[in-house]
Amino acid sequence: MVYFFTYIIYFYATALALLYILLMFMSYYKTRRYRYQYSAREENYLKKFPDEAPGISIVAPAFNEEVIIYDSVNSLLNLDYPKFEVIIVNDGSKDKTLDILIQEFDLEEVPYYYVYKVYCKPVYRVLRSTNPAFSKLIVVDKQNGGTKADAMNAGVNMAQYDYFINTDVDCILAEDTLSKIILPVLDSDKQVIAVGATMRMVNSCTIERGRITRVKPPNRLIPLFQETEYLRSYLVAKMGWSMINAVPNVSGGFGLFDTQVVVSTGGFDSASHAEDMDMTARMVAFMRENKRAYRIAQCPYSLCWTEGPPNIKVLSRQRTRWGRGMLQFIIDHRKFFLNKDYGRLGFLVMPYIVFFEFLAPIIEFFGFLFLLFLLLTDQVNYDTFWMMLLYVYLLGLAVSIITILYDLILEKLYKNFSEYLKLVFFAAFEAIFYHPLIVIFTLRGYIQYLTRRNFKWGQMTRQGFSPSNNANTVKNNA
Amino acid sequence: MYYDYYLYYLSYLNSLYNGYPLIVRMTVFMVMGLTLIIVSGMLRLFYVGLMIHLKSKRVAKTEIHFEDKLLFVMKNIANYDVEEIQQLLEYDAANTKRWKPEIVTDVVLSAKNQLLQRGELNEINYKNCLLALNLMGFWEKRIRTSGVEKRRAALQIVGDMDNGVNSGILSKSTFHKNRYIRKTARDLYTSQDTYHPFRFMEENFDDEFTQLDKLRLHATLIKRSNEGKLPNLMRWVNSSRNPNYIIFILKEIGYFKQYEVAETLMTFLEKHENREVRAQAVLTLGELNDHACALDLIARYALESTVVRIAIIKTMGKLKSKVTLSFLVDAYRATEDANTKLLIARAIKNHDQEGDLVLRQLQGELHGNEKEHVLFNQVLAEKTLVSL
Repeated sequence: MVYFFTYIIYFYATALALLYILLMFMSYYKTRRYRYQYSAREENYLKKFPDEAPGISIVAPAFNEEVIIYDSVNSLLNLDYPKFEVIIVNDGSKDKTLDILIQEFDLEEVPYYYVYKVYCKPVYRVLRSTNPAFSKLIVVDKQNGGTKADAMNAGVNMAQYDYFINTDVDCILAEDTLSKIILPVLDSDKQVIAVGATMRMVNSCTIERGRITRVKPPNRLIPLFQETEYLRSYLVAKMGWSMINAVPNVSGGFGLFDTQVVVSTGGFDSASHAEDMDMTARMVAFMRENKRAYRIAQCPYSLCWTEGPPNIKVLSRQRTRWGRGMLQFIIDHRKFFLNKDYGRLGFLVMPYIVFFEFLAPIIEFFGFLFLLFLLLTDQVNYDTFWMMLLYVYLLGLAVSIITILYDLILEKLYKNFSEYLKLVFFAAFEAIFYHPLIVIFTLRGYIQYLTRRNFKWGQMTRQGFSPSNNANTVKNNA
Repeated sequence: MYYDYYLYYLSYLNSLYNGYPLIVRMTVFMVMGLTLIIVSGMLRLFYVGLMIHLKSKRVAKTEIHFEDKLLFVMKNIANYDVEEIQQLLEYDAANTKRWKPEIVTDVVLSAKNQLLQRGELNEINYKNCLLALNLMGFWEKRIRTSGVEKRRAALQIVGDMDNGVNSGILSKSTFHKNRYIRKTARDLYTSQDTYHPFRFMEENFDDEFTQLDKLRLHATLIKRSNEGKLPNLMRWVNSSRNPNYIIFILKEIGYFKQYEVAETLMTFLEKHENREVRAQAVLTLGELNDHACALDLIARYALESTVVRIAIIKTMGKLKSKVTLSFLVDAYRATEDANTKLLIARAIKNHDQEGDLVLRQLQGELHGNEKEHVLFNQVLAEKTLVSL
């Protein structure tokens, strides 16, 4: 029995190692191709011929965001792209979010023939600015739906363009975000249903008037670990999967979606705790069921900066919710698993999510308990024990270093090289200080979901982006 | 030369686990592999960091040396010959470092774009600068010899230089198996060739024709039209079987206002079955402001697919006549679909004051339909408050 468990854990770790090494190669190939396929010249065409540029709707739900709403909307309105609209969905905020919007952007209620293409809680009114400088801004005031999905649906109903960006008001987008994210759509012979891009931490960046003027790695430990974790997830995993059109998830923090396909699938699921993963899978399923060719693309460039959890309490809420969402996703979409009708979704994406994302914390936790048992019963062969431990540790470190290298090759965002070394240095401690927390919080999410506890969406308290607001941190972000 | 030395340590680590089960020896192998990845990754990280630093220093140094001199020559009304420019720039193209032409090219193109925007570019001096720095030679060589990435960048830079290109050098690239090289080369050929520039346009351009190609070709056609009148684009539609390409050409016909094509377009509409192509043909008729087609399109409206019907509505909104207004009112009354109603209402509003009046009349006909009242209010408010 002891041997059986030992072998299971060993082969699981080896499979994970081989998968990540394979993804590193795939990501390298895809990133290199991406760099020569889409240069600044392609982006300039869009700016040079604004009438030919496809329109993009940016949908950002806001619930009690009075601290950051002004900077956030300003940042979105100042994006460098010829044809876009910014739809802010005020999801029944109880603070001054809507008042600030009305006052700062000269908003007035306008008659609007609102069509409920996808379900959402009732929309009270639509507001637009009387100031031509803010003509791209649309504010939808609606009854609180309790979830981001419901607010997103209200925005999707308003979106007039073929593609929309799903983002949050606590995200800062790079100025050239829209021209970069639309290029894979324009360059594909198949219908591109979604495009993801790299997200990273805004926590220690310098922000002036809603624009990032200096990119820095976070000073606090948890967002610093999360920066490397995000880079690994986007630059290695998703970029690698995109080579074979099997991106498992287009992030809810930032992603471009085909409006018509989202509407056809019924919009975002308000009952889902992982609405982004759920939406991606349902879109793929819709395309497969209708026998339509599709692509999900991944852009390697860092286009979105988001606030990372500054402390363990907030991290715990975030990861517990992600854990709940993952288990819910697997249960809700179990019919896709190894189902030939769903192609890559059934045979690659679902097994990957089940075996390497869902099972990983369970195997790691029981592996740890098993190790304790072996240590207590003196069944550990210390000659090989250290070698095995080193093997698992080096795997994580190797992937992190390669990811940081890819990031530097792609675009040097940090001003000083020493800031990259800082990421590398702390990556060496991630397995010891950060990863165990992730395992515990994710397992807590699974247990919460299985015991059907009453889940509440966390109340957010922000300090804002402006320098005068001390720090760009989230106090209580779930 | 240190091969034996490394082999000794590798064998040492392996020998430590001699006699252990296969799984342990496999792990030793994996640990060594991962260590190698980490060490080489770190070395590469330092190397890339160093190269980025070096490049930024080189760029700064090159800009300081060339920028002002190039701006002076390229905007000067007096023409300079190649030797004079070489003397002024203190640049020996034959004995330069390998990295230099790339950075110098960026400086030249940046100066050219600045002056072009201000309308101060002396074309003769600009071309002599390219000769003095031997930049065309450098990039043409790169088109012939380098790998996929560098080759495509070289093609784009030659396009940006806009100094003509030797079609012999391009010939291999125009039929390259890599679609990015092939399409960039064909676009460059269309934009720069003087003998038969529209050769690829006549041949469907490329089988894998995307939206991005449409943008590139649109830019090229604008450049060509600035240099002289474009040929009748309809002949490329007739020789193509790719719906995406046909849609693009039809759109360009509208953009370049080739009014002589309108009559042919009506015949085309009768023959072609693809609905997206038909919809674009209808939209192009609207762009060409072809009033003669209005009655024919109205007669077709009831039998067409939704995409074409939407195109007909939009075209009616552009043609703006009594006939089109009366048709739109009838169409509005006959439709139940909310989106189509909104489109029709907008098309009616396009008919200026008369349109506004008709919209208010239609609104007056409503009896208690609150939602439709909102629709009319929305359309009437559009453009007065903000443009949608």
